[in-house]
Amino acid sequence: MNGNYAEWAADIVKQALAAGASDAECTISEGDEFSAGVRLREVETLKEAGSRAAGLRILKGRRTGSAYTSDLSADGIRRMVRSALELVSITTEDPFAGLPDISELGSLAGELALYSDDVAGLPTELKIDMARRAEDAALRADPRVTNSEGASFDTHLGRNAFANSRGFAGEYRTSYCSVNTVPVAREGDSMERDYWFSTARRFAGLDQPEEVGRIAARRAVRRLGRVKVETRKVPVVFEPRTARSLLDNIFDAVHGVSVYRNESFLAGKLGERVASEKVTVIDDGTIPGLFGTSPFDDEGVPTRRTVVIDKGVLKSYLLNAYTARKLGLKTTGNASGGLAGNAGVGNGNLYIEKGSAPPEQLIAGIREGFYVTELMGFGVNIVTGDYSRGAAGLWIRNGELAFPVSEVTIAGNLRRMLLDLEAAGADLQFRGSMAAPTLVIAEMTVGGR
Amino acid sequence: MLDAIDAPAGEMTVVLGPGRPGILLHEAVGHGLEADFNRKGVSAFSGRIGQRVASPLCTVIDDGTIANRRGSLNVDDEGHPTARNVLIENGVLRGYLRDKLSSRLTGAAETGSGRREGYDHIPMPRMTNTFMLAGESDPEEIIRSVSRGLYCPDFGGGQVDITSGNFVFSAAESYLIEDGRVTRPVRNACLIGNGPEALKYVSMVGNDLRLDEGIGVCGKEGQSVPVGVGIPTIRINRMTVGGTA
Repeated sequence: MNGNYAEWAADIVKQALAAGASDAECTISEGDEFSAGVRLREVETLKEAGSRAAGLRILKGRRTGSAYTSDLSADGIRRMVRSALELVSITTEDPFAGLPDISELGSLAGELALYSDDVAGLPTELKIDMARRAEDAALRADPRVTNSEGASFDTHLGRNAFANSRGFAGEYRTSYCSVNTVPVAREGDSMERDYWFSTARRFAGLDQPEEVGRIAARRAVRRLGRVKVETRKVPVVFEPRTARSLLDNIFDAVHGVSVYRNESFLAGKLGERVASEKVTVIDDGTIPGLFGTSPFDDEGVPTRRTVVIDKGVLKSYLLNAYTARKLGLKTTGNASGGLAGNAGVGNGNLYIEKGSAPPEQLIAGIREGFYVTELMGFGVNIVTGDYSRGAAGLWIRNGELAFPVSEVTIAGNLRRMLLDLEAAGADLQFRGSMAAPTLVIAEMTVGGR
Repeated sequence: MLDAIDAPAGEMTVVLGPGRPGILLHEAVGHGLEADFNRKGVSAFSGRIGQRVASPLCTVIDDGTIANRRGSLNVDDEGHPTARNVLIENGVLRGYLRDKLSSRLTGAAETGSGRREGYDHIPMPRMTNTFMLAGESDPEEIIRSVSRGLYCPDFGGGQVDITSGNFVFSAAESYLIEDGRVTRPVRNACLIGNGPEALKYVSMVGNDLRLDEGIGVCGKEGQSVPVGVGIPTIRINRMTVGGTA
């Protein structure tokens, strides 16, 4: 069916109500993805995949049941409705279950620039060539780039529709493309890889693949000849790529589920100082053209701009209807769900506000420190804030990036790290739905020799 | 854990308990021996067959044929029977894990290691159940031999950078060893090492090989497959601990 997916979803909701549901919501999701992979200038993989499926969540009183199907025939839809109804009769009542209030539903008006035709119409040869150009530029950038894990060019086209029994029905399309490459540099016994990429909703918005290749090569080459430094406490600078991971940790800590379960070091801290005054964290799902933007969330609530941390003071958690009810608060339009089950919580465009100094200036003020370009492992505990991860990067000596460092750990506690955040750089750039500028933390333990 | 003290920072002697700490082998050795990385020459283990990469006490196996284990398969996802593949024998690197593509490209036999997450994924060389053979030492004697160190009976997830060989894995339960006795619990920290180097510092291997309880999931290039790990109690004389104290 190529017609109006929002109407289709609304029709499935009607079927569910007719079959005995007291409330219902339906999602229809369609996606087409393509990936061209090139290695050492030869095509290695070409991948194309399409998917279309519908999911249904129904309520009968305070019981919830859900089902999904990729069989979108009339029969398949009837089976999905029947399955959800069978399940609802055996699930447990939950006094907090339910759809958002009617007054909370809606969709942003205006052009959000989430879809561009120029991604849909790209010929395969051109996609392969984009990957080839990125890898070729990396291989030519420096004689020490002797090998490659390849390059790829990827596109994704999506269509999402959502309707519920309180009168909401909406749909939107998305497009996305990216080019990346992973060069391998070698000198003597030292071998290192790194990567770089560009992403955009419009093909015309991508960086030139040659630029992507050159940056990737420079990043791999500068890691050669790594040193394992001695264990010590020093200022730690996160470049934007690794600073983004701190935002991941903040997201986990203000996520409605971890807050109502009291499994977060930020639970119960609304209105309190939780970070230095240099830290302002915003979640904004309304910025045109960005990756975390959408007209409404996965429960039909319009997205918005939410100040999460304002100059160090915790102002808001990120919530869907369920977690909001659990906490006695209002949804922040952050529902995010798959096809089946209850909606989870997702971010819009979540970012740390930029400061005024360029990163070079922040580094220039540090006598001895660690500039982190890569983090490894999962050593972050959101309950206690304990933080311990593997790291690689460059040593800062007398205000300059002096030599590469790897096989070390950085450790501290997120509570302390946020309060000790000394400066945010001016280099904020969105490469995904989370973005942070260069961040300087006054002191962490670097574990090495 | 309420009484836990800050974990130490820096290089020290580490004793891994039996079972799930076998994730060390999965990260430090296993991924680096998958043949796709090696035919491309991008693994820290590339071109090292026959070389010493671990202490002579270490023999590491990947075995997909063990009955009722999480990583076991009758045949791999390309129709090849799984096998007991020796990766490291008495410290010497013996073999890679190959799928059909790597086997054809390198002219070496398949090892029954071609696995895929589902019908809509491309097969790749993957591990099954990865473990170290038991040694001779009594586990209690291993702990008694350490004057100051860290004892880690349980681990969470890990990750490896195939090219540099650096790997991390996170302790889920750990204690200080002081004068040969396990004493105070410490806060969870990650451990970091370098694959081709880390196992050279294994100085004792226990007689208590245990396989994990079967909850492991391995992720690679966006595909998840169930895997098993196992290890006896081992003493590693030098490993970097990511604490704050």
